[in-house]
Amino acid sequence: MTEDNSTLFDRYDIQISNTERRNSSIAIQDCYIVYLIECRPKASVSNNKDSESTCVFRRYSDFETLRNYLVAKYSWVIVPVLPEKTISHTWSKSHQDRTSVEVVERRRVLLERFLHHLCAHPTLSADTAVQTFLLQNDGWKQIVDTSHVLNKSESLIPSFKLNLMQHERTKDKRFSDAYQYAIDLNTVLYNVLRARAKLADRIFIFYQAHNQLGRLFSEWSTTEDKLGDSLQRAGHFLDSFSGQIEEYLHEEDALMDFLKHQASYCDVIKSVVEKHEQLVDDNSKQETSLGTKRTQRDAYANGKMNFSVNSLKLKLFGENEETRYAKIEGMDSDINDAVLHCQNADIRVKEFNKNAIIELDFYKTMKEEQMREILRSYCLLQARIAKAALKSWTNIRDSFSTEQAPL
Amino acid sequence: MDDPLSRALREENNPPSSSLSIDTNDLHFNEKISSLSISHSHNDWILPSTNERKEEAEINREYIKICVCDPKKHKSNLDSYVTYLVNTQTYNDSVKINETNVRRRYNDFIWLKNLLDMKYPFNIISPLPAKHTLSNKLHVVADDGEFIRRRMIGLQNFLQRIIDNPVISIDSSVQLFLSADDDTLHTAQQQQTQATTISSVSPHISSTNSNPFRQPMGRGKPIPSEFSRTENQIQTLQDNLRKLERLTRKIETDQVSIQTEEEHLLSTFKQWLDIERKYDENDSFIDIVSSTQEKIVENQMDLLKYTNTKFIEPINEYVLFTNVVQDVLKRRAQLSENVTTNNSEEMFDQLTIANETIKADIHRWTELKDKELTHLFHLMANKKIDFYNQSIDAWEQAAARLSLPNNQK
Repeated sequence: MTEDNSTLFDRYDIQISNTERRNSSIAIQDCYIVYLIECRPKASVSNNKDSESTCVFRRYSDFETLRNYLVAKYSWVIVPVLPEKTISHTWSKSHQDRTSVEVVERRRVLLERFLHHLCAHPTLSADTAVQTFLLQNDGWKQIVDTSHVLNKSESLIPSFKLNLMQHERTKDKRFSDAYQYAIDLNTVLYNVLRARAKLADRIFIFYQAHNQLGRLFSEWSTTEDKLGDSLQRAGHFLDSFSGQIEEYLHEEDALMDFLKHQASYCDVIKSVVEKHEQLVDDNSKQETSLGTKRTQRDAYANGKMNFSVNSLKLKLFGENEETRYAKIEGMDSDINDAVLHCQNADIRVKEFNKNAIIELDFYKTMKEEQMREILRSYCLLQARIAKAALKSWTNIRDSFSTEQAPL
Repeated sequence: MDDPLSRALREENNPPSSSLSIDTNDLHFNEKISSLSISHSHNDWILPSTNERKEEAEINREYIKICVCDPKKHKSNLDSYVTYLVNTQTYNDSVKINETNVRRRYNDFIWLKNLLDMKYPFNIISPLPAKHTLSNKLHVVADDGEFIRRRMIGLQNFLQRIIDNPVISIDSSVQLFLSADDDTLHTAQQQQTQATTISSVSPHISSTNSNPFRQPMGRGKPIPSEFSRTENQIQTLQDNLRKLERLTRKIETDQVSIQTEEEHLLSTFKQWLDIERKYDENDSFIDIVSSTQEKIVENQMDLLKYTNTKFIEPINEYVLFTNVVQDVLKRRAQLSENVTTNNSEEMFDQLTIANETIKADIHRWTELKDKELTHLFHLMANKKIDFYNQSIDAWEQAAARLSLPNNQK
């Protein structure tokens, strides 16, 4: 659309500002959520064309389709990831209902992040499907469908994956390392997520038990004389202590979304590496085929005896100089084609590698920043939980003041 | 963008709250101990003596501080046992006027207790620490050191409470126990064993004529309502204490589960650290979190140990103490029954004296209980406060280090 190199992110303020519930049929259960994407052109950029903001509604599956298209079309790009489709690795009391307010909000945040990353990527943001997805109500689906990339790649990858099982990994260390790293990191991150979820469960139980303690203190206070006052106050504060934790655990849950988000990138990296290996494999196949063709042609041209059925047939039924010459010419042109294929394959591999490495490096920087942010928020959250607990216990302790301190 | 991440980061503006200053003067009674007492640790649950503060003490009131410390193993012939240093200091208006030191072993304490139980059936005499303790698998290390430490605290409480009781503290056997040398004590012990008949009731009371509490010979009906109310109160208290112990044990179990999961989480952090290191990635961010988690795990271990030894065990001991009170009340009830059946004047006098003794002791005991339980709860809450302060510091430090740019740690 525009000729400059700026990304969509540079030109627009993109927000998912609202969500709505829609029904896909008359039945009440068949509802889904749509997200309102608002794009406002930034004041700093040129303001004569597209000076109005646009609004479109999209649902989760729309995002999915767009993303699958991008993954297939730009196979060297580490395409930003979507929030998970089904909720996993949460503590037992977390919000499970996909359409609940909290879950929708968490999704909205991650979808918005997805759009931001998408639009900040120079290659992806220039894609017309992406631009149409964001700025126009209709049209993006057709672009995706007519590109046929989805059909092609879907059939290719599964069978190729099978081959990879038997292959050894690419010799290119950058890619093989990235692959192994992605696998290892993925495992470890899910271990962390699982451990955290179990811990959250235990913490919840622990806090709840204090409710009973508070009740005991309150009941006990009625039968005590001097001690009764302290017991009653302490019971009250124990109650409030036990109720504190729930909101924090929900917050922690939401924070884990971002960790899961990071973990999803591991799969993306794996597919990029697999694509690389596919191209390398392709390339070497082309070269082998070229080599075979050359050998065959030379062998034929030199009239070497080869004990194939075809040559015997020819010998028996005879051939003349003309057909032989024509044959050699045919083989030569074949070889020339093969040479071209080889060169193309080679270029493809080199291009792919170059771009993929750029993507991988960028990913590394981004990952580190993101992890740092996530962990920092985690630390701050833990500090806040401890602060709230501190407040309660200070009150509890002061209820048992050893002097008769006024309230 | 108001997602949890941004919200959390905004909150960071508040500086970490400074750890609340704890006025240790309020908490640690009996801190001023003479140089003879060795470790400070067992002072943590020393009960307050009734006149420990200058402001509270009446003019020229004497008070006595007892310290049981310095356990030493002895091996003599076929016997091996531990003796404790019993240090008695008499203060007059916070000026030390007398001090004695003796060494005693657990059996000596048993001797004293049995003697007092027989002589003063209607006084509330503190129980002794148990012969054996059930050790909680995880936290109380069942080695000699811990066991002996707790026994020492129990013995000190026992003696201090006896000394604080004006009736019992002047008993000759008590004085003997606190000051006599070993030989004198042994002689006395042997004499007592021979002389004492093992009866549970009827202490020697001087002739009825000198009975100050004597009331005209009437029906001799004892005062039921007051004591049955007391009995109920004690029973309720005991029930509540038992409930408290049960609940606290349950909470402790929950805490142990948390501890396990925290350790598990720590191990996943360490795994993550290994992965980042293996591929030469920057590991500083996960390193910070991992070491913070480690600190938290340690602190929690510490808190658990404290909860068990300094809260649950004392509560348990108090349940036993209420048993003692109940026993005393039972004896009184028994005596009262005997009086109604026998209708002897002598027994009636005994009962009157017993009632008065018990009333005074119960009053004293209730005050003591209020003080001790308050103190116990106060200390426990304080320990939690310490723990949470440490957690806050650790996490906020980690967050601060994580905000530094990449290369700095």
